[in-house]
Amino acid sequence: MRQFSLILILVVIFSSCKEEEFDPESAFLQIYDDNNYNVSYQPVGLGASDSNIFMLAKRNLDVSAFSGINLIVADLQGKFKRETQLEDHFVAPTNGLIKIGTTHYFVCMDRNSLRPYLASISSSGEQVNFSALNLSASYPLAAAKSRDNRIILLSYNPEDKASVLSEIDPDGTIIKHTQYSIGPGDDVLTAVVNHFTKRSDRLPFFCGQAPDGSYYFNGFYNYTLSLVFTGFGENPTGVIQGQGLNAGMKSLLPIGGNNFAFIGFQFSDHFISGNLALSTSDITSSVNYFNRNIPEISEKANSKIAAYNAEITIIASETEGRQVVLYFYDTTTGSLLSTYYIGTLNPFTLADILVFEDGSIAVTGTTFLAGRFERVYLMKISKDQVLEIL
Amino acid sequence: MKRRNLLFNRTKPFIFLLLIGMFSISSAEGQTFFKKKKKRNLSEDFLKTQWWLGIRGGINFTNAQPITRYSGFNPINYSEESLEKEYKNFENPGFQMGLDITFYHAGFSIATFPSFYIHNIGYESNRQWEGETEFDRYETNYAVDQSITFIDLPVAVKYDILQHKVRPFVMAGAFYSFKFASNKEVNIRETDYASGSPQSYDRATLNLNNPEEFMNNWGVLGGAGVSFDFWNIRTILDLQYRHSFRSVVNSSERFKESEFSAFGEVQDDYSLQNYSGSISFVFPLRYIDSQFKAL
Repeated sequence: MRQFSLILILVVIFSSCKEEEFDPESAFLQIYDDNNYNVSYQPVGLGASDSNIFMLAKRNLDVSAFSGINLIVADLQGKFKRETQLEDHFVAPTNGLIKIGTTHYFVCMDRNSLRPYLASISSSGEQVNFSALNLSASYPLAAAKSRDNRIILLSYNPEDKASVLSEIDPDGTIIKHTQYSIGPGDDVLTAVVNHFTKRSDRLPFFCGQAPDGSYYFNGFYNYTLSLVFTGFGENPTGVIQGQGLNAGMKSLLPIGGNNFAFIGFQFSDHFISGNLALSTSDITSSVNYFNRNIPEISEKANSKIAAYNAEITIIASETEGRQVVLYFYDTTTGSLLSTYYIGTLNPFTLADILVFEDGSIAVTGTTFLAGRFERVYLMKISKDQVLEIL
Repeated sequence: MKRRNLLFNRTKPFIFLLLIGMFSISSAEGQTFFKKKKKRNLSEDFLKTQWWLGIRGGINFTNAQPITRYSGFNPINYSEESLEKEYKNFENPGFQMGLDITFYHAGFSIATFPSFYIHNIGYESNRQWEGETEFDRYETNYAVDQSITFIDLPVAVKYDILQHKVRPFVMAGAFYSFKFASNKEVNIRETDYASGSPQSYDRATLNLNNPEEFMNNWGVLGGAGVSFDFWNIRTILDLQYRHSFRSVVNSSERFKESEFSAFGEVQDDYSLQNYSGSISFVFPLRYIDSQFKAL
């Protein structure tokens, strides 16, 4: 009896002694701090190679009102590896990093000539090369990856007062090129320059290619921020007009056919759809797609949409409570599945979102240390966490 | 018989605790006792072999010994060492309370003290940002009080150096502790040099439970003490030192987003070293009758 009792007690004790499993790559929040009182970071793009995570960020320059460019490289656990301050005559990086093969790309411009440059980041993150694009002086507004592993670039030509859409080979060769006049009336140059120089005046420029091969961009057309569909023809195939600078689309993800997941804004209100057919061959208005207001999204919120997998779409934005919000939508039905918030005590902003092949999600943006120092954060949500969220 | 009932009533709470302690072997021992009762000299038997059961409580001081240091910040342009925490060594008192269960035989005892054991540790960390002028300077100080409560299950062998009414003893053993609860309080104090001279103010105090940040613990213990008897109870005073060999921090939670990690407060990997002083009041479980004379 005595031996049995002791054995029983020992079994109870040691059966409870299972070690906690630790996977350092599964989930983390990392904050990259600079001890300079006067600097602030504003990330614009997030990318990852086999061994590195890249965070492209803007930095203030003394010599220009345009933002300079920093590249922060971390390992896959988010541990800081290096920061590179790129030459300060390259300014105004486009939002997002485009991965083609093992190289990441973004577009910026020379602040003296206003000529767009294609920048490529090696897989190690140690080399950033620039190649001048054979385009007239124009402000690079947005860039995206085409279905042919090329780069689609939206820029604004101030001389011709035109929105320019280009398809560029990774070696810098211009493959396709078209431009659409913004029409008669006042110039939008002030709005474009303010987009680069005033955070409160940033505009939701973006571009891309739909599964059916057609192209789209969110830029100026007919003096209005508009979602323009085009086949690189002389005229757009369809336009969804906003309302000056006060309404339009903020981000969009093609799903199939004419169906898209999108987030739009109407003055300070926002509307979201997980799956809705848009008119791509007529001239319509973005307010036609205003279904209901999402009051928690802040007025100047940055927004991004990413496909988590074939079934789920993530729409990310910023809240009035200075958190980052991730809405998970069913791609097929367009219904909301779940919502996840990033940020507790410190304010968090959104810059970019990245879905890894293993089903985990990385989000980057800024947080304010001691309430005043704007620094880059990188948060990784593990696949297990995503499954819990859903 | 009346005296026996009186003793039973007095010891009823401890008999209840005994049942919780799963020591069914004591009943087996009791049966054995009654069979032999008439054949043996009770006093001698009492001297030689005995079960003791009682309550125990005390105060302890813990030191967190860093194994690997971590910070919630990734420094871009300054030394990571400047983010290291400064730990308080055996400064914050903690408390423990539970049972004292001892089996004594011929000078040696096997004892266990299942207890709620509260470790309180403290540490500070500092950050500062500087610019080109003396006014471009800002400092933060995080003062952290971390409390961790374990359900502690030690087993120790005691040896009574003298076997008189006052019985000094030494002990050695091991313990396994189940994480039960934990709480962290962070006081944030900031200093602004906006006017040249430092102006400090309390920014915030955060108090949150963080049991997910810890794991179960184990280690070895050693100590010394003295026991003495009066009335029908034995009083035991002892001092113990406990040493853990592994980190009690749950690494998988370290960098997950939380109220603390959002401002760079993450746990190092650390083990616990602990000094404690305890007092026990124990009762004999055998020979509770008119022959009983505690020695």
